[in-house]
Amino acid sequence: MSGAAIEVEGLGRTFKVRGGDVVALKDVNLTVGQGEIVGLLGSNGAGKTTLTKILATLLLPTGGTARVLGHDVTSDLREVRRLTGVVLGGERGLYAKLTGRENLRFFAVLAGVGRRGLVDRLEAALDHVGLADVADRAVETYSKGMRQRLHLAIGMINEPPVLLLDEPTVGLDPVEAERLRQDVAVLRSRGTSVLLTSHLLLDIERLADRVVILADGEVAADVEVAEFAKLAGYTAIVTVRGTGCPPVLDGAQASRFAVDDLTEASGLWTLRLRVRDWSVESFGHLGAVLGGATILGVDVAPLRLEDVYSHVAAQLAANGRTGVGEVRP
Amino acid sequence: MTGPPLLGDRLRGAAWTFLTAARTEQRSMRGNPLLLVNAGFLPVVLLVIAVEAQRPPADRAAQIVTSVMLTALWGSTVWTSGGVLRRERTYGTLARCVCGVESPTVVLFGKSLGATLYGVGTILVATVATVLALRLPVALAHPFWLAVGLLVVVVSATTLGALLSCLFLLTRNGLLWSGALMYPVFVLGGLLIPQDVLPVWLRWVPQLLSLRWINEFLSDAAGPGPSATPLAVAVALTVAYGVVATRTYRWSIDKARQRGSLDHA
Ligand SMILES: Nc1ncnc2c1ncn2[C@@H]1O[C@H](COP(=O)(O)OP(=O)(O)O)[C@@H](O)[C@H]1O
Ligand SMILES: [Mg+2]
Repeated sequence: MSGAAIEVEGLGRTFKVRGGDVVALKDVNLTVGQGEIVGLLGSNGAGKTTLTKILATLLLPTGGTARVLGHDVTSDLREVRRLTGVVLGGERGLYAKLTGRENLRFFAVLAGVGRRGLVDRLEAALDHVGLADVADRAVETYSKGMRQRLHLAIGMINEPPVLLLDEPTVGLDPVEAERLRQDVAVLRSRGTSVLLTSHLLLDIERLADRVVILADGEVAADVEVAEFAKLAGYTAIVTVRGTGCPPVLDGAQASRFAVDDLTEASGLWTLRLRVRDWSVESFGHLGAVLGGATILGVDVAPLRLEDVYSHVAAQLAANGRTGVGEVRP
Repeated sequence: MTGPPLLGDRLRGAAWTFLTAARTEQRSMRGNPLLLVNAGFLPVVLLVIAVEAQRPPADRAAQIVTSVMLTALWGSTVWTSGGVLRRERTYGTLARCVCGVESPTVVLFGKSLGATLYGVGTILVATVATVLALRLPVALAHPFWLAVGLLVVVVSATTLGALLSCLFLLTRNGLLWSGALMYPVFVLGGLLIPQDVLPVWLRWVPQLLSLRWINEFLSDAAGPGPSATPLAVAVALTVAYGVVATRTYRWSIDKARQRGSLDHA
């Protein structure tokens, strides 16, 4: 099999609702290579779940095409379903009265797992997501995190070559979320292709090879994770506190540092600088900038993907894109 | 990647999914109050009422028992196998059930069979216990035809349950419809109340209910001897239920995928 794991071309989806149409996806173009892990970002309502559902054959597109390993998601359902695992998460989607094992067993068979080796496979999957001890308890007694882990086990039970994860870490505590990241990291070594939606940029940072941002029903950015970090235009923030006269940046210094913020109160000032490219020389340049000032303290914070996302979101909003909300000033 | 699966593998896959669905549904029926009331309690009450006024002779007793069991089966079908898809929607599991590797119909019929078997089993146990307690003289005239009748009952109730499931899926108020459908069929189903008591313009209703034909077949088998016609009609109706159920289900799923309502509660 050659070609991409996921190919999306001109994909559109409009929902008819009372009082008009909701355009969830307008014209989405996107490719996920085999063995690649792509992080899908976008604010609430950007259409991430809609895209995931279309790829999982749960929803029909209203325009464009989408293919999974070469199989069209509207006409080649059986193959797409055999090759794709999906985790939509949430607390629904499980039989509350049945045990975790019974749930997993049923959904495993639906996903095409045969009789041979089924019991061992269930055992291994339950063990893997840490539910082995509670596997024989009714799901109605499970916590949110346990349900989420069961969803994950279900989505991966047939070891699909293509996996769609929609907000898999929602509702998990930090330890559980970390464990999930490790699970996805294992998939990488198996060569599974993953489309991963998450609000947690930590997930994306740790797992993804590439980042795709959806905004306004279109792909607003599609870059390597390393490139994505550069979108913000800086790599670290230096916060300096001092007394007396705050430093002033000259022309050459302004090409390396940008003043993010300067506050003065009762003889104390706090200066926040964005460092465009953090390197060994940066200390020297910083020394030059702070030359004559009386320094009380310096704090260096490396760039977080959250900051990049806020930055990109703010830019998109400034360009009139409405699909990206939650922009912090 | 492997090529398309062979026919044998396809059939084996479908059978495995069907049986797993049946087994899963049977497990989720454990302790279901709707089942206990309709399949456990109802036949006891109906039977006590039917025979306590006047003790019937042996052949008549068998007919009464059959009618009571089939009436209880209608009650349990409406709630249990008829509720399969309604429950799927409540749990939010419908999406996964229709997007498995096998056809959604295989899963639906499997689940319907699981619920039906559980219902039939409960009804049998409750009825036999009541018959023994009341010391009713029930004659089993033709065990072979009785077994055939039982088999047709299970298949027919499975298909009927699947059909009801699909019809209830079309509306958001499946529970309401289950309640609304149950009692009229007690009256109009031709099981408890003889058909000729009904007004002429309502006599077609029982004709459409396979259980009524199976009742006739089993009554004959207990008395004068089995006849083929009611059995044939019951089988034909069962096939028709199956066809309508499959069509309706496919149509509902396509609509839901178009509208984006597959995982709506
Ligand atoms: N079934 C539906 N009916 C109507 N509108 C919908 C439906 N599903 C999603 N939408 C709308 O489509 C848009 C995208 O939703 P969604 O894909 O869930 O976004 P995200 O997952 O990125 O938060 C939203 O405006 C949402 O209200
Ligand atoms: Mg979403």
